[in-house]
Amino acid sequence: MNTLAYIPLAGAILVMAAGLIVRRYRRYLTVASLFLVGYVIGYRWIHSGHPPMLGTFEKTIMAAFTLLVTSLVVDRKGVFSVHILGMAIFILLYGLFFDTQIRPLVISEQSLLVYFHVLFAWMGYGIYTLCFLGALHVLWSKRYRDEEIVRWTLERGLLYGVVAQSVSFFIGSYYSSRLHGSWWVWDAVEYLFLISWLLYGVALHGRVLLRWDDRKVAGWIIAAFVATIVLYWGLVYIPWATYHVFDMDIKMHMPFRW
Amino acid sequence: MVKNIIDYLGSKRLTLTILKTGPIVPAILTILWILDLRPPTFYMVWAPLMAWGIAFLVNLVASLFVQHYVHRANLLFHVSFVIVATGIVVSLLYRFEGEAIVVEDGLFMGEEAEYVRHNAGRFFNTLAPRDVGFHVERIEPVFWQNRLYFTGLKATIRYPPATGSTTAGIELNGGPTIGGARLRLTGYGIFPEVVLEEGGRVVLKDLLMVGVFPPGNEDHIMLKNYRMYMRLYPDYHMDERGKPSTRSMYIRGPALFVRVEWLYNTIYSGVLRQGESVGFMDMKLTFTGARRFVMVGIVKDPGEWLVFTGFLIAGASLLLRLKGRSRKG
Repeated sequence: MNTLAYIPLAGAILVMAAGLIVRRYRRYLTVASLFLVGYVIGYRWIHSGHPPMLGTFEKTIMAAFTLLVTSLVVDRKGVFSVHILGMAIFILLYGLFFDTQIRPLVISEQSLLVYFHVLFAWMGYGIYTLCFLGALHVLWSKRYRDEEIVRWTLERGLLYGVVAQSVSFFIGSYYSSRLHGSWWVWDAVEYLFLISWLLYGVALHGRVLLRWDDRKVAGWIIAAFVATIVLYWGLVYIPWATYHVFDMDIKMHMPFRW
Repeated sequence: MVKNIIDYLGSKRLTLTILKTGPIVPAILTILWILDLRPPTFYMVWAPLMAWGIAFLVNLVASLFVQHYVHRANLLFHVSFVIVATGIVVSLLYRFEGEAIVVEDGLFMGEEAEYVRHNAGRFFNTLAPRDVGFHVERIEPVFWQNRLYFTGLKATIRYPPATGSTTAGIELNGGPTIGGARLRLTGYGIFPEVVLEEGGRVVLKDLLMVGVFPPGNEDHIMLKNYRMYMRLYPDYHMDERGKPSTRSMYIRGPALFVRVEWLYNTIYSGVLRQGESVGFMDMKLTFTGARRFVMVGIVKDPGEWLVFTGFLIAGASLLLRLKGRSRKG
């Protein structure tokens, strides 16, 4: 990646860091950092011919972008904004430990279906992150417990997250039937998806069916988010890596082995 | 008594208990995966999942009658699981999956012997798709920066083999449906083509099905009493250290490194360019060229459309649910 993309990325990190300090202009700084991260996404998209989704570095850009968008759209009062900015900075810095080279898409991922699968997966991730923050506030902060956004994360947000994750799975599963010949492949990514999905399912059903209190739902949301973190970020560390890992420096992606 | 049982089977508490126990099996499987332990599939994967899945479905079906769904979309979403489950059962009973190796300009007629592997066992004639023959006209791989990084792979086929009236392309993520079976590419490689003569008589003139792709891979075959090790360089050149190498992954002036052993003694070791021969004992080996091949996955799954119908309904109902209209009461 050349300096034309590094400078906006560094700029985004600095603007977000400023947003952590300057409370008054935090929302404007969030918008500014969103544009800078958006520029990096656009730059890579134009030069690689595909949206950033190949390898951990590109995932971190998309994750930061998703977090900023979700925060701006859903959390209008900016209750979670400081946490979101902190998380986005951490994610972007973490991404720099991975290969930043711009690569064309491998043939296994060349499909619009993959783009939509990824889009819904990131939508789910953004919403789940807000749910996680809401759950933390319920468990450990009295100040914001009754904020509208915290209530939203425990009910509506949880539902939106499950919907986005489910749609991502349905699209991925259909694409898997074309790529692997089977709509379900026994692989670590599927195991982790099931764990995460079912844990959110428990939180959602507990709330709807048994009217669980906030603290109980929050506990399950946190457990589910841990599984989600492993699902989104942990696969690259799992030895005997799965077909969902596209990092060149970790594992050469070789779909064809004789 | 029966009503109590049905009430329990469809109860909300049982729903939550089943959901809570759901992550246990995948969690165990993830840990086993990390430890690189591949469990016996039936006992560790299918048996516990079936037990959980049956409990889930029983609770689900009972809850359709016992519980009151506030949102129609919720009801539809849960019904979709029953459709998916039906699809899974149909797939388990009738799914056919096979894989065949077909070289460029080669034919596939769908005979059992032509499959490298298939899952039908002795039910091949019942489950395998009929009339799935085709002719592979052309195979076109595209590599990024001449590395083993595929940015394109397409096999152009003509079918049916008798007339070749229809042309289609098969790629890694899809291809035409022939005889009710979906085709897709599952692999790519290159086979060397050799002629072996013994005392002036041709004893072998064929492609050698050896694993010499990607370049650097070494494989061997037994011919007569000779063990022949080989490596293929599709775009041969000598590197700066004077060692045989390949410039790219494409076939442009291929060469075959051959090491011949007889009674564990190396009697020949060297590189043959296309058209070159080597003699050892009373044998003569000629490297005549290299040909691309593809592995074609052939799947016929009558349960699949049920599963996807279920997914479609589930997806649509979830989106409807977001609109949040409730049924009266």
